[in-house]
Amino acid sequence: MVRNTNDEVNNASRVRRVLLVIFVVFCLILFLLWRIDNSRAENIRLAILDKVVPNVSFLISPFTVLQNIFLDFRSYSEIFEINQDLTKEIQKLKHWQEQAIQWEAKYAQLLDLNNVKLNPKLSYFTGMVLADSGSGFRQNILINVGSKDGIKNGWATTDGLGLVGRITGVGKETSLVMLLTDTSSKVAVSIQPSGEKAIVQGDNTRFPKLELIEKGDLIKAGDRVFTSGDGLVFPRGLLIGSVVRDSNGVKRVNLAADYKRLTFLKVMRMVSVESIIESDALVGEGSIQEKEIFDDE
Amino acid sequence: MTSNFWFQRFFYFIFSLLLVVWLIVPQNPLKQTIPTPDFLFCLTLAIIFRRPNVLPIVLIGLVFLSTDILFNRPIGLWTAIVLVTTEFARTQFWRYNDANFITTWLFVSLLIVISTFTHMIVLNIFLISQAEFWHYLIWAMLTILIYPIMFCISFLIVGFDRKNYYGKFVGTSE
Repeated sequence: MVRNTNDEVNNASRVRRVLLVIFVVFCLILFLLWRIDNSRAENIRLAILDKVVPNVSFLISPFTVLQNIFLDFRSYSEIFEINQDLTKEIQKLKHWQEQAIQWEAKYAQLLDLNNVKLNPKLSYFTGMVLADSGSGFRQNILINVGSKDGIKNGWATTDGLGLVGRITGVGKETSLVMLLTDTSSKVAVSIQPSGEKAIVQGDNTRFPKLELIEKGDLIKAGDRVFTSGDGLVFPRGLLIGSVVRDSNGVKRVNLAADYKRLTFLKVMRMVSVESIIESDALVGEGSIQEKEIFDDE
Repeated sequence: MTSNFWFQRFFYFIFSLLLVVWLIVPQNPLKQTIPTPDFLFCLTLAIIFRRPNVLPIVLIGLVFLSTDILFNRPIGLWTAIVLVTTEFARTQFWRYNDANFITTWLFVSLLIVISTFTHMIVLNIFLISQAEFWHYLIWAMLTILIYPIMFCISFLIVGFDRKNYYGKFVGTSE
């Protein structure tokens, strides 16, 4: 009797072992395929996400509501301090508003004098964030606009204030945005007022690193970081954030976009990228023009 | 007994679904400062150390494969590692059946650390750099730290019953 059950158990465990081997080999093959033909695998992944996430959004919504209640509750407890800070800020901002209005008028006047044509094709779509990546190793989010709305790979997204990331995958109704904090994210930037060029490289922290800086001593904490438009990935002059130093003295970027509360994202339409490729001279002159524009600011 | 198993499997599935949904909710405050620990891996290990025969390989495989896809991880790798680790844990179950919680926890920590670094090493071999070393270290530590919580949650799924399940598992209980 005991022998009998033992045999059964052995058989069962043998079946399980075969099953395990099959499943593990299957997974490893999937991994290899993913590695070899990454773009196709990512497209398949996106197609799945495109099907699944909008359909489970009814499951997400109660969590979102709870989350919002929690966040609201936390902000209530800080409301007095925030109020005081805001009053101070309003005082400052009023001054800046006045300045801005004056500058706007002056700017329009100067543009008119120079007969400058602004790029009419740089318009945007607004999308809502559907889902975050659940793991700590990839920094991307899913938004609810896709190829149906004409979104293309590579377009820049901002939260209205600062650059958030770029589109890395487009489904029919959703698209994937790789955040600046992702380790695969590298963005060519210029740092104002010095005009130094650098690369903002994500490393899974809230403050991406500044790398490949030519003259580091020209850059001070608090300098503003803009996209430089080099590499023709992003349009030039989008605000990314300001320079900070961490405790090891490494220069990092304090992102202007509010990564804690990404709800609505603007996807910048970029059409005229190809036209810049043709003239090399334009890239060379870019830095000079840029400097003048930002000096004015 | 068998219907009970199916209930437990069903609860495990529902619970992992809720966990995944909670993790992909936009603006999850957890993710802002620290890498998110792998709650599901912990939960699976906790259940396996309490009831090794509840979770079939196929269920674990499917759950982890879908999280691989949803969480934008390299597809398949983490699933394979989790399957091998859980199967190993199943074979080691008899050692820890009567052991106290701390001993099991230490063993689980070892499993978590080994699987995390296998993951890291394989990714590095395939030249996929996702994060720095310390990031993986923090991640493994957080996953170890949430094990007690997941251990408590495992009671919700497989119940409080403290019988000797080893006998039933191997079939020598008489």
